[in-house]
Order: sequence, then C-alpha cells, then structure tokens
Amino acid sequence: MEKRLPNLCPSCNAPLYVEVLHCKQCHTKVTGDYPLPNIMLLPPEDLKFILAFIKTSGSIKLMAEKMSLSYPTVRNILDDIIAKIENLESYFHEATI
Amino acid sequence: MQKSKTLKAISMKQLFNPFNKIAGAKALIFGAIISIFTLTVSLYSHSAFDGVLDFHKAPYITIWPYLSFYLISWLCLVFYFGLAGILLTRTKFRWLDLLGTTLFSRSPLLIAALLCFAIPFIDQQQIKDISKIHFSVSFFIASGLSLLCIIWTIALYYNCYRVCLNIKGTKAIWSFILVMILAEATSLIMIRSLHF
Repeated sequence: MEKRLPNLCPSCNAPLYVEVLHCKQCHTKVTGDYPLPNIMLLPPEDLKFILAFIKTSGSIKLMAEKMSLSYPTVRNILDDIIAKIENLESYFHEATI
Repeated sequence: MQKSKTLKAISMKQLFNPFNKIAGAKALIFGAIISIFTLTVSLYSHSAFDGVLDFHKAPYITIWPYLSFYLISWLCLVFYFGLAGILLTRTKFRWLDLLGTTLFSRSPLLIAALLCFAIPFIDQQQIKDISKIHFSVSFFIASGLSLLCIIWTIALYYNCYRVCLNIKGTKAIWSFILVMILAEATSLIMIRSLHF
C-alpha cells in the first residue's frame, strides 16, 4: 500500500507542519516547527503530474502525447496546479502577516 | 453489463466533448476534411450555413456563396472566442486550438447538409401563401433532425470554448452566450453585405 503524506489537518483542513524528523540510520530525532514546501501540500495526482512534466523538460506537447490528452486539456491541468500553488502562497503570506 | 454502460457513457461524452482528446492541428485537419465534404454536399443539396447558428435552403448553383458563408461564420466564431480568451482568462490559449476545435465542432453540419435533400426550397412568393404548400412527412423529419444537428453543434462549440480557454462555471455560460450573440450578429451583417 502506498502511504500518502498527510499534509492537511483532518480536523480543520489547514496545512500541517513538521514537528519531528527522524534518521533511520542512527535514530536521531530533530524536533522543531518546519513548514512543508508549498509543492508538498498539493494532492498526489498533482505531484505525479509535476514530476512527469519535469521529466518531459516542461513540454506540454509531450505531456499531451504521454497522457493521450489534447494540448489545451494538459495546459488546463497545469493552469489549475498554478492556481493552487498561488492560493497556497497567498494563504501563507497572509498567515505570516 | 457495468463495463458496457461505462463504455456507452464514455462514447456519449466523446460525442459532445471530444476536445479533451483532440485539438490543435489534428482537429484542424479533421475539421477541414469534414468541411470539404459538407460544402460538397451543400452545393448539391443547396444547404447554406449563412450564420454561426443558421441553416437555410438556398437557390445558389455555384460553390462560392456556400464557401464564403461557411468561412465567415467559422472565422467570426474564432475571432470572438479569441477576444473572450484575451479579455476573460489568464490562460495562454493557442489560436491554432481555437481554429481547429471550432472547425471540428461544425462536423454535425455534414448531416444537416445531407438532410437538406429532403427539404424543398421555398421562395418569397410561396411564403406569402404558405397554406398552399404541401409539406411531406420527410420534410418534418429532416427539419427536426437538422435542428438536433444544430443543437449538437452548439454543444460542441460550448465545450471547445470551455476547454480551449479554460473557463469554468457560470462565467463560462454567460460569456459563451454573449460571444455567440456577437458572433451570430457579426456573421449575419457580413453575410448580408455579400451579393451573389
């Protein structure tokens, strides 16, 4: 079973922060209050798309061929991901003010 | 059973929104091939697509009126779709997608052109005394089916508008209605100014 990174609070849906990091080799634990990068807060299917997009050197045309979708459909998926990242950026920007 | 139902749903979706799979140059080539067939049939069945949403029986005997009406209607649509794309969305749309998908959206007009063989030409004199005209059953069936073809074309226009410009929700609906009215009015003005 593929484990999904829980990036949103199951109670209020706000982004979660990393409190503990753990070394598998020496079992050292680092505690703190680390925010996850914005990109990690995206749903798994968006992360898969971003990874595939990078692998095609950022070519929408190649992505369209790979996904058997039309060019505007792939560009729309990309537009939606950009909008999600912008929303996250403005959310964290407002949270820090 | 479940599988065949799913396949049926997918093919129905493709019938009204093939633009998730086809756009750009591919749609333009397929659209152009179907348009050549449509215009060839139009010449023989005398079906003129004289406006973005218009379809009438016409008396012309050369290809030029049919071709010019078809091109004007298509390009008016592309122009207003593009204008909506510039004014209403942030997406970097391609004119090639608009040209291709709008031309491909006109594919059901081939069926309408074929159905026009069953529709007689009625001139201004005959319209004055419409009660004297005998309308056959095939006339009513062909008229009804061609109306369905026009509705199918509008559904395809809406989906290519939505997909190519990435417009969603109510914004997509009201802007599409406005764009269609403007494109229809412009195409009618341009077509009426032509004399054949």
